[in-house]
Amino acid sequence: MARQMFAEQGGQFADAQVGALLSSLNIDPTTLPPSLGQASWDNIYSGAAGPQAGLTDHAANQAMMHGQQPGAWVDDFARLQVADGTQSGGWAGEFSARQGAAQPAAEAWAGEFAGEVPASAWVDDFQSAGVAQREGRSEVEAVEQSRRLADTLAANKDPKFQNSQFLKFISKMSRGEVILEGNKATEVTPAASEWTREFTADAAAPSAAHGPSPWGEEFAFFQARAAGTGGDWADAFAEGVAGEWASEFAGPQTEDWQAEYDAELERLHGAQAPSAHGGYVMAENNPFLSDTDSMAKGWDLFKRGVLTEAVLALEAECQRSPNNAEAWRLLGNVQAENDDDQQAIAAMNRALAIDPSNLETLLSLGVSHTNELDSSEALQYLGQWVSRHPTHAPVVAGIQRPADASQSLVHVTSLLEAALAANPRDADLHTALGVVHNLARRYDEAVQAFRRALELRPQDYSLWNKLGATLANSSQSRDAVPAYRKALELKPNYMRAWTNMGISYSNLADYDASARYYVRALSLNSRAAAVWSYLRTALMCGGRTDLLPVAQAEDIQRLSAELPL
Amino acid sequence: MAPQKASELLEGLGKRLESEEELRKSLCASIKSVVVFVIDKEEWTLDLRPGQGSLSKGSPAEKADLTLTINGANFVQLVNGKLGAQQAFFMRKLKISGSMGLAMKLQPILDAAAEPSAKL
Repeated sequence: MARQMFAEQGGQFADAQVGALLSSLNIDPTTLPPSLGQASWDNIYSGAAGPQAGLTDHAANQAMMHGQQPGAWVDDFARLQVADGTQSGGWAGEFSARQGAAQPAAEAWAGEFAGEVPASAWVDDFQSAGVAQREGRSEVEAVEQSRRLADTLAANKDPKFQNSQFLKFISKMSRGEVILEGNKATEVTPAASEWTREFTADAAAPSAAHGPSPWGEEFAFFQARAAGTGGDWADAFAEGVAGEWASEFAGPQTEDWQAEYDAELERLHGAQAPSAHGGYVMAENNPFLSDTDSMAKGWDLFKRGVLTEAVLALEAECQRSPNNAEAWRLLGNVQAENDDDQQAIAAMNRALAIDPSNLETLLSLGVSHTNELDSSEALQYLGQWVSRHPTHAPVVAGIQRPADASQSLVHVTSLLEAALAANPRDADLHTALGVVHNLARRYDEAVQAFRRALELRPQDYSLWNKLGATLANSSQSRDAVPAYRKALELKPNYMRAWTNMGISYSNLADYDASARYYVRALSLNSRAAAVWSYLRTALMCGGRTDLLPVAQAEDIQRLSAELPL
Repeated sequence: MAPQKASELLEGLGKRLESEEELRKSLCASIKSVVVFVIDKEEWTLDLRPGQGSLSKGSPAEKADLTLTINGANFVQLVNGKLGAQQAFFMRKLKISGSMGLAMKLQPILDAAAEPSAKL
């Protein structure tokens, strides 16, 4: 979701988020603990200093290499010292003080941080991230921001708080995908010592530094963590962060995100103009608009597999009777079979707004969101489906909802498994479980679930397609082909299965066959922009560049003649 | 997702850049730079400056704005969405040098390199 929000809202949005974080971190310096346990800090220093005696040299070398780049950090801190000399306890002040005593070491630190990236690049990036600006803003403001950060990091002794705030900051950065080049020399060393090492290099010069204990505790925490796992720091860190990220989404700073999301959801479910973003887009010049029997015709066309016409008939019905939930649901189904999950979701949302407990709609929304890789929404609908199902609701009623949204994959899986234990011969349950396994990329389990569903319902063409797609997505395209073939035997105009067949042949590097299947799919639904793109790629890869202009012109008749199946 | 080799995925991306004018334009409009992938010590230069839009093997003629270093297996995971870019970075599987602002915009490139996935 973060990525999607970032993509939609761009850098300014990320800037705003980082800015909000920084101001939320602004804690009054008067709340600083009066006496900071310097013992632990010093212990860390001395503990880390032993094995890393050679590091100062390394840092100094780097500083020499980057000598022409004294580093924005140093400058910032120097200014900080001037503006903020009165603050005694803060880390920033301490750094400045130490800078006076140990100028070369401080430079080394700056140089080390600069790494391969020129200092100016750092500055640019920090400017764009809104963290600090050297030139654009006034000096006072830059100092103020640095001070806030330093204050915050020193303000609370609770390691848990420290840790989570720290990680939040890191995760904010990574959410905006601000990425830093790490210290090359310390790649395999646990991070705690690596970070400590940087401070050690700095502190090697004798100084009266009294680091605020929270920093020490934080490093101790990391060190303990890294030592405990005995493995690569990065893995341990990534694991630690993963949990925090999830809980962060429930945190107070994200309330505005929540509000935004709710507004979006309401808009999607609300009766909006069909052309609105995320809404259903109707075809123009629909000949069925004047046909009062469009619902029955839509059903009939759908059953006969004339999908494009079925779409038009159902769209006409939905335009004339916008509250016909069944028409919207059917339209969603047809769009899914036409390999257009976005339109399918838009139509299903309308159906669900009218009839919020319709089980088929909930299940279809779960599948379509899975195809669109929106796993949180997919899980939400699949969870609702099993919880609202009259047969399964009593079975799963006792299962507690996790407070944390990050647990929803486990939660929904356990709901479905509990329901299956009570009703092992329910094909829909096996299907839903197969979809959830797909979301979790547990493809072998997904294949198993779809096979069980097929034992109970062997004539269900969409299940054969789900089985094939799961096999294809788990790199078993060769096995996917017979499953798709079965689906197409049962429903010859199943556009999605033709498309999937093309994808499988493309994966098998048989681009000629792939292009033929894509052309067949497009002859059933020429509105599928993605499939046109797949076709052009297949033509390129298969050396049929002569047909590219025909594909660009979307001349389906000529393509069908050139590439018959 | 059959092509499990980084080189095949990149060649596919190159082909798509050639045949898909919209993709080419949108990537150039958002990236505006030269991005180099170093995969298993092989260099691939993605020229996404305005008006360009091509992928070629080897070093760039000019200095790259962003260099991404990753091994082939991890690159395949990255493109297939099995490994997140930030996760890869934190796990030290992905090394980045150059503009960090640019590194934020990586995802559309990865998406464009991905093979189409089959739909349920």
